[in-house]
Amino acid sequence: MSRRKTLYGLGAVIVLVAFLMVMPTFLKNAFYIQLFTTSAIMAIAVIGMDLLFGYVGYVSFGQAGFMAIGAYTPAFLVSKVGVNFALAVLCGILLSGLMAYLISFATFRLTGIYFAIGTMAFGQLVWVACYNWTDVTGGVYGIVGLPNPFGGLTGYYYFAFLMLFVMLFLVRRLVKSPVGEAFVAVRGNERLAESAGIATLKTKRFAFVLSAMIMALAGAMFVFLWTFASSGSFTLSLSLEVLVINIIGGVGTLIGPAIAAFVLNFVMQYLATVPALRLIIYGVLLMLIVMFLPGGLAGTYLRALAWIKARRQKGGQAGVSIDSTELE
Amino acid sequence: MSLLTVQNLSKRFGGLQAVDDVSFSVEENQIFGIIGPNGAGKSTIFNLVTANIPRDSGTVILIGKDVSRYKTHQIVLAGMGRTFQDAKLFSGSTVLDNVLSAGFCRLAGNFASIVLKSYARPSILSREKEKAMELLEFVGLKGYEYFIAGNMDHGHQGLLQLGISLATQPKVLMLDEPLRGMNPTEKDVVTDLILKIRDTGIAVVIIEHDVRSIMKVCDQIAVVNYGKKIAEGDPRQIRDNPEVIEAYLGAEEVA
Repeated sequence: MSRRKTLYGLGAVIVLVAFLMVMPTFLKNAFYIQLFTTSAIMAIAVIGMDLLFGYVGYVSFGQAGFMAIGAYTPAFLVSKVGVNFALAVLCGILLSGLMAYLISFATFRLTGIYFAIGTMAFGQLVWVACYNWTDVTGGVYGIVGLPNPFGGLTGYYYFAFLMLFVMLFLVRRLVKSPVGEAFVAVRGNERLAESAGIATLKTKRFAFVLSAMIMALAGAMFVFLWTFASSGSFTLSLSLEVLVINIIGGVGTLIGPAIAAFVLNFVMQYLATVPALRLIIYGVLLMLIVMFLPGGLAGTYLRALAWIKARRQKGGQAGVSIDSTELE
Repeated sequence: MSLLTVQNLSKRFGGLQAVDDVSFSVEENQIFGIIGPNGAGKSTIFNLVTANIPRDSGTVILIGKDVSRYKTHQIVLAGMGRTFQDAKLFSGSTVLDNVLSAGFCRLAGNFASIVLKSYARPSILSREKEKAMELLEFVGLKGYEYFIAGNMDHGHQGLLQLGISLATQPKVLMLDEPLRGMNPTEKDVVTDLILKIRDTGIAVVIIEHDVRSIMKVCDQIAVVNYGKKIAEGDPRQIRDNPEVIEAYLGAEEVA
């Protein structure tokens, strides 16, 4: 039974990968390729968010700050120092992780909404630094003229999807491991987790640093796609957007938020044809989803599955419980 | 050799001396009861021993090792499990996941092993799952594995609490009012389970103010009032101790 499920899953992944592989050859329209690439990078960022928010239960409003560190570091290194792309991105990721480690000493003295505000302060600090530290970040003008490391858009498209799948795989593996159990324990009841022998502070810090590193990767991928780094790209509203996509996709499911990144990115693009109504429609859509589809896209999917199963069993259990392991 | 020795434990909350120079020790295969009226400082003693709140003074020696400077999770790893008074569970998770989470500490105790274990093969969990299933059978929750913990009734939540603390593989188990708010049948079930736990070689420390049920299971009882230990002995001695009767019933009753 579960083996058949694995086979189905594997089949679906193969079909999806094949589809994504051949798509650029048929779809000559650069607009769509760019849109897919942006969505994939956004999906990486949301996975980074989901690791922290969905599994450990801490909302960070400072994610854009980590993206900015991950973006400006390689932008600076590549354009002003001449370091090669991969090494520069790696530096950005490590710096972002180090930063997360350092601020975690302060932020994890806080919980809940206070943690969110603490990290928001960090995000804003990074933004102010990017805006004012002209020597390194170029200030208002940013850093322009970054080379596309893959020659063209199509190359970048493959790179983005490769990274997306790698991140999905790594993070999924992590949350299915015993450490994932510890994450969920911290989310469920921190005091009990501590008394069950879980080093909660270290566990949280671990997730926070990893999350920051994934955000940094996403940030770096954005600026090299756009070929410029600008302080206007990594504001608080980006943090919020990541959070919103995460909620809509379904917190703590990884795949749900990744899909939501694509859906919302496309919706936003199509809404761009009616600029006046764009934000209104977007807002109403968000409200409706939060109100009527609790658990987001993934949660709704799981509930639908459970409902069908319950109907098939014809009045078995009355209550329908959502098993988080369903989405394997 | 005693498994757990607590010496000169003290804690002051502002103007209130919550725990005042309390010492006791628990032997192997012993059920040790701490009783006392409401607000006597029983739970505070637990919280001090397990380092959930910082001590003003006092040493805790667990299986011959001084754990006074340990943090809560380190004390758990050293072999002390505990439950909380207000049924604390991972209430959104299934019963099985509750136990699995608690078993994690034996899997990855320190930070280095957390990093190492983070890419352990998922099969490691299936082994853990078997262990968890056995444990659930032991505490009498067989058949409830996939129930959401928060949806179960109070009695079963109490059993699950015991299951969670047992999953950390303790040598000493601290139970904070395990019989709280239970009906007589549930009390019997939990009492039997506590005796069964003792028989596996785990020393049990119980806080309770339902004196009648605790008298039946405890080998040794300490009585606490106003943060001070006022008496210690076997249940018969405690029952006849005038100071204890005074603490519970008031001085006039004795006269």
